[in-house]
Amino acid sequence: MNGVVSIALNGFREARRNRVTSVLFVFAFIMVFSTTVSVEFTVATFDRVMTDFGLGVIGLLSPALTLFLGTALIPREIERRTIFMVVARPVSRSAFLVGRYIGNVITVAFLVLVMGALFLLQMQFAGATSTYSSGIHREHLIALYGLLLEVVLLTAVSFLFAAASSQYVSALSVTCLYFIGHMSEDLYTLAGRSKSDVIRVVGRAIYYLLPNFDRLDFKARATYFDPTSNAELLSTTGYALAYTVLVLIVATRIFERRDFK
Amino acid sequence: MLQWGRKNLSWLLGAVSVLVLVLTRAAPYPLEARHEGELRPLLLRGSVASSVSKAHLPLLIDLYWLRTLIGMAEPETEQRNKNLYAYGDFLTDLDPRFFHAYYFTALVTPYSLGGDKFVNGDLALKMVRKALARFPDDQRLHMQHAFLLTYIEHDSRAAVEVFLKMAKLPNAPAAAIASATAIFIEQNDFDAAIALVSEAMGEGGHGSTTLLADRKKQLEIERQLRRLDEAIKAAAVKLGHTPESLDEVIQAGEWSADETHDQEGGELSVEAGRGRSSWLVGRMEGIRKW
Repeated sequence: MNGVVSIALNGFREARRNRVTSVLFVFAFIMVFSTTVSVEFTVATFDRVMTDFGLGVIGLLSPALTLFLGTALIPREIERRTIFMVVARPVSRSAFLVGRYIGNVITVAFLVLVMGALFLLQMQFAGATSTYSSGIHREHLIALYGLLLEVVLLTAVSFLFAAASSQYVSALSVTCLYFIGHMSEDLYTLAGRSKSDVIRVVGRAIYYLLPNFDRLDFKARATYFDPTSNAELLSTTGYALAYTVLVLIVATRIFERRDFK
Repeated sequence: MLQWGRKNLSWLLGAVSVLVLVLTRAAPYPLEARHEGELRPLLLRGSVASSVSKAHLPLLIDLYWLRTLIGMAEPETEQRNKNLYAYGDFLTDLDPRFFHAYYFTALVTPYSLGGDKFVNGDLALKMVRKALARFPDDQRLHMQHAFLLTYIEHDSRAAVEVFLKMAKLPNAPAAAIASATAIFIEQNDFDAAIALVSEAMGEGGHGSTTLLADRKKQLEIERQLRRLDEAIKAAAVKLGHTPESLDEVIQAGEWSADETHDQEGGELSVEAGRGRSSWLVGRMEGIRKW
């Protein structure tokens, strides 16, 4: 257990030192700040534009960083042979993978939380100083929570592909899976309209087997302050965590059998 | 010779390539010619955009919304207004609950050619009707619908129907109902105008029943003054000149001597060949004369 924690913290430190992460951090802050500028161009829809831009920027950058870190970390360790230093120690491959996973999640979650705090500050400030904005709502917090769940699940999926293939193949696969995961409800509906039984079954299979990222996306609800029940929130959390655990189990099995030579 | 050729082959190929590039250069094809005056903005179909960019749809919608607002600030042309309609249509396909996209684009779509001639009015009406299908109880949209029908379609009857429907809505604005009576005045249908105001007063919850009560009085007096106008015209025929006072109209036998005041106690008179009441500050005119 201590090994996992050490690897996780080490991963967080490494990611923090990474130039791409730093650049993305700076870019993220500029983008979140630019929300204030975007509001200057609008009329009568200040709440909406601030919410969509703020959450939209976080929702755009957090998967980008997740993909970059999640798919690059393991292949890079293998390529640079640094993995042998760890494997030689009394730490199982599973513990290494889970530790690296936790380290990655902490890094991206930290970015999401800091950007989220900045976004909420802007909403609060706008709410206090303008009659056009109504400040922070519960739906804003739920949307941020959904983004965190997305990071947790997407990192796990990235690690699954990274454990099995090269950096580029896994980056491409995870990017496709991310978009399909957001479209799976549409695919399910479209397939359901087909007259072919095969297409209907495939559509249903895609919907249930692939990660349903759309389920974790509460950004559109925050736009109109549509309420989300606690039961739905609990169910979504359960779905994301259970799927993550399953994906990590498969990833560790593959990683344990992988030949690093 | 062969050696020289081999040595300089890359230079030769490079020179030929540059020559071909220079000879085949072409100015960009003019965009106007490409579309034959049909300069529509390049937009995806709503269903495609919402599926492909589902993960970031709210952000995409707002980027297009800002583009629409920036477009509204550009110099007004018939084509600009048509483009704004296209943006509004696209936005409302992506987000059917986006009220402001319907409302603002319907407002800016009609293009005035001067006088009461407009183009793109059909598009504005299409947008308002699309919005009303989504927000059937919104008073602003009903007002917009009625004014588009009046000014652009010149269909006052249809506009009146819209106002009558609107008057039955809960919390219909008193000022809007009062304004709506102008269309009835245009058609000289004072009974309908008074009925509309009475109906709205009966519904209650209009914020300002005093405003409606005043409007009703004004309409009743205006109806009386219109009768007086007719009497003045008839007296002018009899007298051979336009009467300059109420007494002359009475003496010509066209107006009752008992009716020298309106129902509110205002004194009736003749001014520039038209009836006047000291209670009513100005005459009520039809919507086109505002």
